[in-house]
Amino acid sequence: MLARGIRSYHRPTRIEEAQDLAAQGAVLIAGGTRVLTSERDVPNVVDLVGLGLHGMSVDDEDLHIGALTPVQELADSPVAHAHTAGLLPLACRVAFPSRLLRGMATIGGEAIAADPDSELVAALAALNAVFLVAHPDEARESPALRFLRSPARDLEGGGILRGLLIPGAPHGAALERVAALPSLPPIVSVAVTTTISGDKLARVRLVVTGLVGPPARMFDAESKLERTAGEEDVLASAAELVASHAAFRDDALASAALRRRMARVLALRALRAAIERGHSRAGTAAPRPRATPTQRVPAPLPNFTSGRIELHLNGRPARLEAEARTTLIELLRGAGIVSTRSGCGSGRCGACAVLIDGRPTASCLTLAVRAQGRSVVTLEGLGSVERPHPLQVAFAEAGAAQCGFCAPGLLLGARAMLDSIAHPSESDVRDALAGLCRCTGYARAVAGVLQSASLDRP
Amino acid sequence: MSLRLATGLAAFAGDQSLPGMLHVALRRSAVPHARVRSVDCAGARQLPGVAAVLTCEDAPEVLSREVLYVGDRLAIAAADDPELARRAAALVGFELEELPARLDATDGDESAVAARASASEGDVDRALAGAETLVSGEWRLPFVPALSLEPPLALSWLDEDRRLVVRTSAESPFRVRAGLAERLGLPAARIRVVRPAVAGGGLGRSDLAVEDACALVTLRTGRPAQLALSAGEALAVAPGRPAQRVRLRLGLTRGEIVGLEALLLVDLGMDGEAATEQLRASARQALGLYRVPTLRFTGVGVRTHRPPASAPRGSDQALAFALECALDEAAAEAAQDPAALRRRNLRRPGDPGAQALAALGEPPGADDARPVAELLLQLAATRGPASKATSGVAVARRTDSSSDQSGAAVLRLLEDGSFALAAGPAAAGSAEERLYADTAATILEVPTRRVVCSAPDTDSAPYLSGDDAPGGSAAGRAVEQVATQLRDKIREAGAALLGVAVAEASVGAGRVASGDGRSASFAEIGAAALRSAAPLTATAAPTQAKVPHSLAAAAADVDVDLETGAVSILRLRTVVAGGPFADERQATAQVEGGLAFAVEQALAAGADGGDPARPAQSWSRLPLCIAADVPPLAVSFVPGGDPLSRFDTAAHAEAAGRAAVAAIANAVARASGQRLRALPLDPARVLAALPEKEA
Repeated sequence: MLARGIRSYHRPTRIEEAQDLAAQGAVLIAGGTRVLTSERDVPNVVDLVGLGLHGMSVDDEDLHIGALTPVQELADSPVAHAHTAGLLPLACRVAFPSRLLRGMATIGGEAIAADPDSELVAALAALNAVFLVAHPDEARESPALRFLRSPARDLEGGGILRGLLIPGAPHGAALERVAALPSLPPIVSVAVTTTISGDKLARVRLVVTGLVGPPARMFDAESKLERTAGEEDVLASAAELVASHAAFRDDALASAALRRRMARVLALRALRAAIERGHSRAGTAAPRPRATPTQRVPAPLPNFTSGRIELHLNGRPARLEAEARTTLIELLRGAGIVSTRSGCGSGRCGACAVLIDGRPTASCLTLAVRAQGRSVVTLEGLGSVERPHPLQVAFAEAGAAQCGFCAPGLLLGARAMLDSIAHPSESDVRDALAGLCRCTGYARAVAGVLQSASLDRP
Repeated sequence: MSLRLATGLAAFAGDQSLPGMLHVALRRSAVPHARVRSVDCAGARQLPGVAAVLTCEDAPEVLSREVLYVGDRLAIAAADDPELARRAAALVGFELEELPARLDATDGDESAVAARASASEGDVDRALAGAETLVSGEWRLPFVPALSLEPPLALSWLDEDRRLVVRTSAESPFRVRAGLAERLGLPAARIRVVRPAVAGGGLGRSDLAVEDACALVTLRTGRPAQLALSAGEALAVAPGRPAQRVRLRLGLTRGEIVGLEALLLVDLGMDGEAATEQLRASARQALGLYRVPTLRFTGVGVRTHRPPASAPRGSDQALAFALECALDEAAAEAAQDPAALRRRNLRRPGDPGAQALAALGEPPGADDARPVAELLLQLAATRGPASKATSGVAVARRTDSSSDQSGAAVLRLLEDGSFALAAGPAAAGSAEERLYADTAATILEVPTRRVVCSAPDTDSAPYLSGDDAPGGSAAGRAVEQVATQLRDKIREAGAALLGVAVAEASVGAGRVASGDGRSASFAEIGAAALRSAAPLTATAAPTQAKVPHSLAAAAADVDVDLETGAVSILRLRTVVAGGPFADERQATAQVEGGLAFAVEQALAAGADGGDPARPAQSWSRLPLCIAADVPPLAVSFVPGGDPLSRFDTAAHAEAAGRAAVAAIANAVARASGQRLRALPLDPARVLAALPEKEA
């Protein structure tokens, strides 16, 4: 459900303005997925998208990541892969199985939420990320250890998370998790990074999720391992320390005792893998290069309460009236675009999916004002019955869906993927289908996309 | 999926809005059981833009003074804008007297029993006492919400004759109309219910979740109104597979079942409708498959202060699930092949146990499970190359209802050579309508797009589905009959137009040919018929005494991580008795959907225990399979099942899904060495059953 009662929307382009508004209690929006699914009353929102805090760069061994970089971009980034021994892209993928949320959520937003079950937060801790916070009076650097324990404290008084630094690349990394289904949050997960010097472990970072609080480093286990060669008995006692020292959560999904049992096994497996990869310098397979739609920094928009939104809707200019609280789905349906439907309200089902500047987006979790000046494509814009897109033909021929309610997410997700990868694999396709189909088992949709891809590019 | 669906053209209930439409919101109870002492609507009514605020004091026909579950309705508010309606609903003041709530169906309170069913045959105690192999235990299935992506929605207005029109996302328009007529005290003729496409997976809801409140606002204000539940609200009050428990004792001697004792307990929630039939159906799904010479079955449905539970999927699943697991256990104990053990015990007509089955409502002749033997043989042939996977196998049967099914169809040839088809009752919206259009088009030898199958509308639909038994197969047969009849009529009319004898005329490619090179198109024949006031129409309304049923066998290839309890399903295979189909891809896709559903049910659904006093409201952590969660699937059909089942692809999906759930459980039992008898088989539950290795 949309956060209640938004009355004003501000999109500053200078960080000082954002700091002022934040200090006055306005709520900051990056990807928007958390704020807009909360039931909080949020009268004033500040959209950080105009601050230019987006992108990645490598500078003097440090990987710099802007706070507003979408998780999807990190998941697809060969640079992020190379600089984190593969850990960051992997964590992005497993922590955000939903293609829509992965494309919308930002690294900064995820870090600030510090969800106890987030493998991405665990990965940032294991990578020694340093968080760059701009306060009205000074710029502060906060290590992961401090920042992730209580992000709100570091941001108090108008602080804005500008981005984060990942200093130096580890030699090896691993992430192990246990979940009932691949797309569910882990009951427990363990992230490990290793730096090797000679035949010794110079540095080990071991982070666990499934705790009472946010993911946390296991210092005892780390010191047990450092300056050893990582012999089996050392690994076993380190894993034992993880199991016995961490404050595991007791909840309806698993008791603390069962989490402890899982954590011991996962820690051992993650350590073995991270050490082996550290020695061989062989990471997991790098993400394949993709064409990413460019991210444009929008113009400032101070204090929007209501007004006209100008956008390109399915290739034609459109001018539509919106209030600050209007969501994009409301704007579109009001304009007669009915393929975009309200389903789960949480960014998973894809019934409301659209492409904004080519990126799959849940329109029910997007403020209409964010579409200002952008290109929005809905299922109607992909093609019509008279002039269908090849993907639509392939879906129809493959018998890909029964009721069609989920069609926007599946088709637009596939379209965005085909725009960025020339020869997708089956797992690329499964990953790209942005939504939930409750009628079929996705097999027809996967077949349809693969067929369309092979026809498109022989 | 037709191109229409792939381009976003399907019209769902929420795709229409009307000028001056009010938005309706509901206020729901936060406590499971309470009586309303007093109500204060003053604040809510004062809000500018609020058109109506209704509670048990002014709308007793729809709102009760006693709330019976968390999420039960306390107030209805209507306003110009949805947020304002929500605010108004939240502003209504209530003084509630909390009453004791029953949240546990197993507390043994006799006053809570809403339904009972039983059957027995032979001396089961003696048979079990003398059995070589005895398996006994208690199996449990948790409540699992049945969720459609489309939250319940209704739109209501008064037409030019002040008649109430309701556009609904519920499955059966006639059932909605009957419910509205009863609650609102209107003659059914004063209500028209229209049901456009419904989103689904065969999960179409059948209750009046929103229609009555929405219609009441329209009746009180005279204005159009829309009530759309939010996704969270829909989840909190969603029906679903009820929590079920089975205590079972199964005896075998020399590989043959000698006796079965089963006690079934179903948590109905605040629901009692069709509960007895639900219990009987649960027994039939299991007992219709095997020869069980001695039997004692007792089923009990208990009412609790939880949302009404019954859902089309899985409400009668527990006994068959338990029996499939118990048979696997017996096979393992006797070191026998589980498929061979099943084949040996499959029911044949005339087997003992028929009396008990008949008492449970099994139609005569329906309990023939012999086709399952072929399914099991075919299934064995789909086994892949040896891997680290452990396989489990199970079978399932699905019958819809023990009552007669009727369906009807009307088909007309129009002046342009196209056809207008109305047929039903259909389940799950557009998939069936497409199927009916395909079926008629095949018989008429025209492209499917020339047959327009209209959406259900109580004003024009030629059928009645008051009892809500999804009669997909009866409707499908009706379509075949009308298409065949109309083809004959077109041939006659064409022959007359061409001036030749009927025997000389032939039908094909949208024309009637005379045999001497001349022909008349369907358009010419249709136009001529309409001009001479003898329109070409065919009507059929067959009733089936025999209930079609689906039979399926499934195998799961799994890998269990013995150190973490994590279960990976490497492949699901199923062979279903059915077909040939008008559109085999459609049938396959639907069965694949049943298998994806089985993955959720077997491994994750209900793992969090589901606090009955505080139902989940967010979709964000619901275990729903995305594409990446679904393992490779192999679906095949063996013709020779019930020929009527070719129109009931949803029943095939259900049968295959149920077989797959049990097959996964059996595979996990074999891989882990632990017989886990409660679903889901989530990592924590599996690990808890496994002995801990010394670190």
